[in-house]
Amino acid sequence: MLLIFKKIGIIVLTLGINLYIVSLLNNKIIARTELRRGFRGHKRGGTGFPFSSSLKYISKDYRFSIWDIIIFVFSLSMWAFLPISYNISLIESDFNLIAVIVIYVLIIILRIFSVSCSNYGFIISDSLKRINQILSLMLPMFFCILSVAVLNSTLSFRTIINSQYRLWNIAYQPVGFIVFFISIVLQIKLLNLFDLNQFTFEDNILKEGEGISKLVHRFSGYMIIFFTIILFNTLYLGGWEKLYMIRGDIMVAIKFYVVLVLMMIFERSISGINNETKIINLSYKILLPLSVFNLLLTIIFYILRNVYSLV
Amino acid sequence: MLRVIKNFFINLGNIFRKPKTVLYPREKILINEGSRGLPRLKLNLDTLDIICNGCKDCEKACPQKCIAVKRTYEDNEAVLDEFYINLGLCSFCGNCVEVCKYKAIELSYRYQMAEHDIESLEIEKMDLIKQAEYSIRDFWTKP
Repeated sequence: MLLIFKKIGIIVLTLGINLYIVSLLNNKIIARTELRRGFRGHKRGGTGFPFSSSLKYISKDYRFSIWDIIIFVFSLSMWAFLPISYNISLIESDFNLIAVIVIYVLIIILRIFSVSCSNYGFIISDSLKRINQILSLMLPMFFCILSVAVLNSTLSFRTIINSQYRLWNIAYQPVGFIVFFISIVLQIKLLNLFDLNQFTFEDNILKEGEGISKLVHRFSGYMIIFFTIILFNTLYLGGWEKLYMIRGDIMVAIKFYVVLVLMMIFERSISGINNETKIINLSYKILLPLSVFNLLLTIIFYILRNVYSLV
Repeated sequence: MLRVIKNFFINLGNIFRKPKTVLYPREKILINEGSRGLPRLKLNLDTLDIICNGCKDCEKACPQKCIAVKRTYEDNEAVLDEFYINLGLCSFCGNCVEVCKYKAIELSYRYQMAEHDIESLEIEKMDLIKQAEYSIRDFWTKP
């Protein structure tokens, strides 16, 4: 029991520290890509900005809805299934991958419903339209995950990472790697998670107002970013496998921040794709066929290896 | 696709470039040469008299009709009596400077002209003479 509490403590602490660093880095890097100074206005390089920002939200309004509680619980519960490091995993199961994907999809759907509630009253057609848009981007991602699961013949994260001890999955699945990366960046762009204060889309998926509700919304946004990066790292970049003398934990941190910065810059670079129609077209015309092709190739490889023992 | 790659490297490079923005009002930029700020009336440095004789060429040339000039005669010589500029209307086009035969008016580098009430935007002769200190580009560095 104590061990579980210790692990929960470590997970919450790790998430808290990374939340602070990422929220600082997010605003700094986005400002620097636009040749702005970022947080120079605040004392000590703006290091206290994430705290002051969160306090501002709490002090404005203390009311929150049932959606917020559910979103908050789901945002934290996904870390019980998705291991950040080899010794920080709460629930060990052979079906972790499915559980994590279900929670991820649920968080996004709940976020969209929550926004619809706050912005326009409860308009179900609008929410369903948004969910349809985001699911169309998730389809290529699911096919890529399925390809990795077929390649490693498992749905357990631990087995997927352990099977990459010699060669990372990026070497076996380069197409899947690219499609997965573009898919998660486009999802983040569609949900507008990096650029939380600006309205880049005509009608975007952000919660109005300020208060605890908005804070939970932002928190869940960062959790989605963390989730996608850790999942990406686990599936393709070897997870917590150590590299030469560098420990697994440090490797996870290095890969996490490298992928994060690349995602931020890449998200800013696709400024031409600035509306939902273009994103969905890209998904259906390029990403989905590529991911299906990748899955078929992987299945053929799997059959040749396991049924005919040819590879 | 090529555009995305190009944008990616531009954004990546921007992270290591010096930011263009400054922390106004703590920091200020050096104003570009030829920038158009608040107009000022020039003085004859020998006699310290106003060069302008109130010929009203600037008033006629002003597209916004924001200049009002009055002239009087002292010893049969035309001298400037009153000179008003309404900054609420002025578009800083510089026509008044161009048409002035005596080079009596020029645009200074002063760009901070916000006021609390609209009456304060009407600048009179004495105020326009005092703008001499703003005719250098880095006026804000001087005490």
